[in-house]
Amino acid sequence: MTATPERAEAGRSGLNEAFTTMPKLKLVAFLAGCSEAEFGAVVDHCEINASTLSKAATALEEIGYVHIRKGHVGRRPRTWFSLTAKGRTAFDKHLLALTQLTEQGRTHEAH
Amino acid sequence: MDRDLSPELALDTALTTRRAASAHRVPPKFAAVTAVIAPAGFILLGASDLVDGGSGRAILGGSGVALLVLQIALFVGLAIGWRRDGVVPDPTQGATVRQRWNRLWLTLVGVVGYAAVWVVTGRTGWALIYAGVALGVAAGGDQLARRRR
Repeated sequence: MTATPERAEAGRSGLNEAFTTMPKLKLVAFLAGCSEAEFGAVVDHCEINASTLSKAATALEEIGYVHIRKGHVGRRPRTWFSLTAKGRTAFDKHLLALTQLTEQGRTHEAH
Repeated sequence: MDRDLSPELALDTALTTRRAASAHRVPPKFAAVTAVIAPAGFILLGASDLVDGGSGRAILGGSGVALLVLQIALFVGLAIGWRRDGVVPDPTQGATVRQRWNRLWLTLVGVVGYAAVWVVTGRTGWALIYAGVALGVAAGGDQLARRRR
């Protein structure tokens, strides 16, 4: 099923359902730390296999969180990813929710 | 959320991965060198406009143009390196929203100042010298802010 931004943001505890799998979370987190990243660099840094990365990027592009650009370095074709403003905002909210959940968990454990 | 992906693990992964991308930064040496080259280029160009003809004007103008061309060449080289590396850093990395707004306001003040100097003095030379000094001050401020972060 294709997620919509509305559905993605509808998760409980403020978590965004679009980022609840490891490959999508890693891709969006990596893109949040840079302006643009090339497919191969993301595979290397995030330790995701090419097929999984491709699926994750396409899914995030469909809901408007990631922009995919086809380009060239010399004669070699390259695929570049960047986070859209909507994706950046959604990731920041997701991180905040994760931080709050983690803190709540630690408080609960302390009691 | 995946059963194996606890909030703690997700948070740790997100922060670690973002940090890995953030490690690709503009080299500090590049920022320091360009903080000198571009302002000096504008100041030399401005000075050449104010000098009354002769070889002095040609030398100042030529040196100014050479420095600005060097600045552009350095940036193009850096951009090519980023493309090969596969990660293009975010120039606003580490800056807070307030710092980003401050930078925007400073740029606007710089542009208005350039126009004001040009209109008041009626000479492009003074406006270019102003642009060089303003760029130098802004770049110096950026260097200080970078060291504090």
